[in-house]
Amino acid sequence: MADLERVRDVTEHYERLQGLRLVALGVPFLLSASWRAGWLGGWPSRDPRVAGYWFVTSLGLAVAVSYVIRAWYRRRFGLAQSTLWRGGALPLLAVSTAFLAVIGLQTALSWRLSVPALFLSAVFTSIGLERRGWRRHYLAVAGVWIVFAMLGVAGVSVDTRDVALDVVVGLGLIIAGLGDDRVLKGALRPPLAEDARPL
Amino acid sequence: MPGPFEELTNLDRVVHEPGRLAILTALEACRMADFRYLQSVTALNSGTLSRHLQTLETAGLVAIKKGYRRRVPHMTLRLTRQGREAIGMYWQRLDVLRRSAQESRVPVPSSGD
Repeated sequence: MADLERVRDVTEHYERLQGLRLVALGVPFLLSASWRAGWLGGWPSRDPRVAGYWFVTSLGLAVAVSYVIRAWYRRRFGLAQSTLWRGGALPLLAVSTAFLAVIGLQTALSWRLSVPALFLSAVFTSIGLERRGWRRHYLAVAGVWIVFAMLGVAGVSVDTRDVALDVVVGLGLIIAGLGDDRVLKGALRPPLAEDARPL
Repeated sequence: MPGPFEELTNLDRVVHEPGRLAILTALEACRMADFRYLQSVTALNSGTLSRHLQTLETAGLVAIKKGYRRRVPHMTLRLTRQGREAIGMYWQRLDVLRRSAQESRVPVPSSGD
């Protein structure tokens, strides 16, 4: 019965468990953090506008790489398309809407504690605890966001918080991505090359 | 009222077989899947999987679409409405069976009695 639960859970979440796609998206944020912190020695430009173009370009490249990685997952494990209800599109829409509302609240009330970061932390905690913690690596992502939420209260400067935000986004994507990939690879067994075609 | 054994004999044998139950569970959790994915998730070899799929298609529980993808045979599968009802009914019956087995269980005296 536990095995049938694995079959159901991994099939429902198959597209979201293709974690290496998230890892690719995390890299531009870590590069951006390095640039903001001055670790790249002003490369590709000290002008924030030019650096912004580079960031958008690297993000576009990361999206393209994530599609290549999706094709790799499909070649390795096959294709399973989620339903609208079970694929997470509707929860994502609800969370995004609530997140925008929380950002509006933060902007209006200018709290030193970052409530949007705490909100994200709560979302990641709930993902980390669902179904007996099968994606418990999201608890680490939640922890990173809690630390970020506290930086304003701890008196950390805005410049440092800008760097920290990029680090948190990049690190969060990489932790989530590597963890999801591990869950997926632990749950699926790709067929041997000579046994991979329908008879 | 039928007892647990009578309920057991009422279970749909097409659905009850472990390999086919895994296939139906996977297809119930998604809109569609291809042959390779079902192999990855069930760990069945291609011969066994093909035989199970044929049985499920004959029973009208699964719709199979065969084609080519980059000149390689490619098979996509989805659960039919009948298949969705069959697996729903199967779990319902299994639940009834579990409950009736619990109700009819005779308490075992402890060793100290």
